[in-house]
Amino acid sequence: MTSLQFSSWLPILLHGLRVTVLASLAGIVTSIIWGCILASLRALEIKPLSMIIRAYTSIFRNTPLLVVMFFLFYGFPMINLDLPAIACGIIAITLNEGAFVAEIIRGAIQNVKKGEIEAARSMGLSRAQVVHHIIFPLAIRDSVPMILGQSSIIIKDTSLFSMIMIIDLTAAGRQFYAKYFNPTSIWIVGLVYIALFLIFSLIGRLIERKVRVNR
Amino acid sequence: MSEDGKVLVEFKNVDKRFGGGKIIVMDDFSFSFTKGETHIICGRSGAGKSTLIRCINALETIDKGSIIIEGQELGHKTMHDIRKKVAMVFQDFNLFPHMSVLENVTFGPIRSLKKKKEEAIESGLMYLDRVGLRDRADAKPAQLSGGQKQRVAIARALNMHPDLILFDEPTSALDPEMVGEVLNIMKMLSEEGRSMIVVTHEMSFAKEAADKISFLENGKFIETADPDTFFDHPKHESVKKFIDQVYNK
Ligand SMILES: Nc1ncnc2c1ncn2[C@@H]1O[C@H](COP(=O)(O)OP(=O)(O)O)[C@@H](O)[C@H]1O
Ligand SMILES: [Mg+2]
Repeated sequence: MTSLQFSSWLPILLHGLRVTVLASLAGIVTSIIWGCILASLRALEIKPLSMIIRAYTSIFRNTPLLVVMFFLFYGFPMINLDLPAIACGIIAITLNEGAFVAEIIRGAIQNVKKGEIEAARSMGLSRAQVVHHIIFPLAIRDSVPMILGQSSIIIKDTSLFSMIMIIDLTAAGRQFYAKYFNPTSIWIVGLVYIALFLIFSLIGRLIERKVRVNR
Repeated sequence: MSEDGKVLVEFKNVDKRFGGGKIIVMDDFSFSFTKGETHIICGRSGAGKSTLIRCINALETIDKGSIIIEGQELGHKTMHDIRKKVAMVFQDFNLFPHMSVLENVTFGPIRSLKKKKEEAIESGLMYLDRVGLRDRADAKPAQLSGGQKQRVAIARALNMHPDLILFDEPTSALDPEMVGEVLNIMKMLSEEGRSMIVVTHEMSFAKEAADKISFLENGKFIETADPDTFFDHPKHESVKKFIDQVYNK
């Protein structure tokens, strides 16, 4: 890779980096929110609602993300919904990863101590209040490490954006290779991903320490 | 206290079984608990003591009969109202681990009784003071000893301004050196004339604080008496045996 090649590629790399970082952050936030909503609704233990959410999570956990992405990217125009590719990508991530986050929180909800729930119930609170003030806050704190793990997967998910014509980090690397048949750019992109994960896990560890509940 | 002596909780022909009917907890059980009294329930492990008192605030449901609390029959509709008047202290404390001590004590009054926050804090601090833990108001439960946790749990119950407090073996999970600090507070509450139903094996506490002691066996109170009669002249052979085992060692 000559310095001339590199300097002409650098703007594309930076653009790709920006897209990957912003899409990852957006995807992480929306997936967590969606996952929390699904898990809380399920914790209300209203039979039909729980059944629907159960079906939803098992469908989206078992459908490849790329298929969902294609489905939205090619499907939305057919119903005259003209969303930018990046929106399709983030919605697809939210639908899929939200299901994983919901399952993580559901697992944590089942681990909330029965006695702590009973203590709240014995004060006369409604089921929704108990979920809102006791079950959910405890479960979410317990899920933080696993949600952070899932968030790293979301960062990796965004590399699929290159398949729906978005220039993200991955696409930037491939563009250079396609032009010069030189894989150095792929190396660079790989290193940038690793740097992103390192930064992310550092932030993650700070969050983890802050919210942990000691017993 | 003019209400003292009135019926507070009445069990009418209550059946409660587990395990498809094999395990009998209450069998056509009828009994009235009196307002203003400290009523101690004892019995062998597995007799159903916990289940019996958990039925009073609907943490367990009964199979047959009815439970009437201050004239109100416990049911699906009245459950939440009754729970607001009946506080519970658990064997393993069950403090909310993500809340500070003060938040634990004010949570119920604010969220369930819809009290003003300042009001709940003021009375909460007062009760924390009474259990000797006002200076730990900002601590998290994990920073407290077992005895301190249970004292917070008692303050949490008191701040609900309950008409009745249920205690389910409140000292059984404590190290021996911490049992006294919890029992002392319970004695103080008993002397104030609060209505308390207490499941405990602490026989010296029972002797000192109880107005009545009942022994649960085979789904019924086979013996109910004042402490002196209960300990010195129990009618039933199995109560005698139990006292010998637990009290006289
Ligand atoms: N949720 C439950 N399901 C099935 N059996 C139970 C349940 N809770 C209690 N039991 C059984 O009922 C009996 C009474 O239990 P419990 O009320 O805890 O007794 P105690 O408090 O007197 O030791 C025991 O045999 C116990 O195993
Ligand atoms: Mg018990």
